[in-house]
Amino acid sequence: MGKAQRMALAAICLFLALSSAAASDDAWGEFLPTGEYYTLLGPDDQVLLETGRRIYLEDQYLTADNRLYEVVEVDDEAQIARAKLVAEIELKLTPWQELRRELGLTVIEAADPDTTRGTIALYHTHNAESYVPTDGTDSIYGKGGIHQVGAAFAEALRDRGVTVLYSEQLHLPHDRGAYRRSRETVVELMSKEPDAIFDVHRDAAPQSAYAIQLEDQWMTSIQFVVGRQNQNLGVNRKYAESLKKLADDMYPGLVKGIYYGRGNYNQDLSPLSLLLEVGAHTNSRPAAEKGATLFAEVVDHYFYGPTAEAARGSRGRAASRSIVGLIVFVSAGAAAYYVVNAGGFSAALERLKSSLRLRPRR
Amino acid sequence: MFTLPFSVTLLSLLTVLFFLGFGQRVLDRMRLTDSEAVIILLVMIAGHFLPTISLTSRAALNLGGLIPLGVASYLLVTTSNVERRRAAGVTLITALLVFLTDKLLPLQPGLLDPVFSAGIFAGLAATFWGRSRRSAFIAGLLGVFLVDLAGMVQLWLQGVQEEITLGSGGLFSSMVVCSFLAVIITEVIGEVREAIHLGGNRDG
Repeated sequence: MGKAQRMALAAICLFLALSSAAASDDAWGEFLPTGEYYTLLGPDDQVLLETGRRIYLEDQYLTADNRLYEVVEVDDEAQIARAKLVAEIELKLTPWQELRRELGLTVIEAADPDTTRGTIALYHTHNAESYVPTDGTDSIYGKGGIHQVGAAFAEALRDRGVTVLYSEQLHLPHDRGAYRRSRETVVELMSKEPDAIFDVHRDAAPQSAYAIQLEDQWMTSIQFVVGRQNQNLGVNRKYAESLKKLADDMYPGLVKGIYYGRGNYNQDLSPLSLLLEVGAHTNSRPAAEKGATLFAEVVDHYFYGPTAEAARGSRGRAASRSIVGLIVFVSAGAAAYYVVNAGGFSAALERLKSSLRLRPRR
Repeated sequence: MFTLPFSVTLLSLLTVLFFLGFGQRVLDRMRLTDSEAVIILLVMIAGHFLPTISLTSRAALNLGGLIPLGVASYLLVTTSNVERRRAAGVTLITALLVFLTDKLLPLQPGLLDPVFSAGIFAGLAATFWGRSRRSAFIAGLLGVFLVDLAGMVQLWLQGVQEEITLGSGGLFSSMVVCSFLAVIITEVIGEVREAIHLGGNRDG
């Protein structure tokens, strides 16, 4: 057996051993420990947020009353973070067609907007997430309770005439590689050209963090998560704020806030992509389903209702901005191409200098 | 009804052309001929459109995933024994680091995004192990694949009854993105090291 074959054999053995270790033991930290969560405190020590999400410096949080805070201190031992008030925001409702045009994307509009609705895609990066009071555990290996919440969301959209692409593709094991695996699902869903994509999750926080009473019913509120490390952040931010603004008008309190966290959550693939936290593991699943059902009404209103209708006719401004963005984008690509083509930075600089040098006239 | 003006559509097309050219140059840096580089790029684009097929009730395969694997195999077959061993070593290191960071770092992506981590590890490992761009490219591709394979084995051992899909060849998949990212990292670090070594003396 040659050296290369021995190395290949060793690789296979190593991975089988590691896989077995991961399968037999949760000591690898696959699951969030139940009952552990971060608390984000404001300048007056008021609790702004309780979340199972790890909080990083410079993360931002837009509260239910539209105050934008930025994280300035994180104590990972105590799982407490502190934030300063950045601004009080007056949310603006930007129609989705305008957001797409800002990125230079085409907008295909139905001939008769009153009768034809488009397509919304849903999926779950963390399939195992479940609700303790009704599912009996916070995590079911396979399709957890979150899939039933996704199904309720999909059903509510379909009831309103929206076509739903609901992917129940598994992205297990339940570790941080799930976002790498769910990227394939997002790409597959995008090939069917949905108008928007939602990654449906639940949080890991105390029951009170998400429980609300709306229309005389107890249900869970919803929190949006936007990744700060993606090139669509500007548009993602406007999109999330537009949906919150509309939800605030229709069902005050249904959207509890917007978390701008470190990471990209595959939102780099689509500007109209949003991560939803529908309740926490401490809430009941039916309560989360009710929250998702009401939110479906907001989504339908934004994409195919009066909001979309009002957007028709205002195109010139958005198109001109998209041209500027594309020129910057193309210029950056051309510069990178030039450097690699020349064989490195120094060679590229030399080539550029020589091409700029004026030749003496004969 | 398409609402974008012709100029924007033309610019979008130009962007695509620039990035195809960029991809070709990255492949060129691995001592592939121009035509080999273009063919590999075109085949990878074709992989984006291939479907997923069910193999058994518990396993499915994205046919697009076969294309990057084929490309990695081709790059391994057409190189020297030394380079082949180096590529295998860099791939192993990459896969191990991705596997460990997947398991040990917090669930939410923050520092070291899981989508790009294989590209970063492959680029760094290849830089320190002979500055081989070919090893970086292969490790970016196979590192992700091996970790996904390990995940599938883990689920089988845990008795998960649902269908698990392996592999994806989409142009924006982690496998493909990481392979190009790894070569770029190797290239950039190499260039910076050379510049520092020369100390501004362009004549060497």
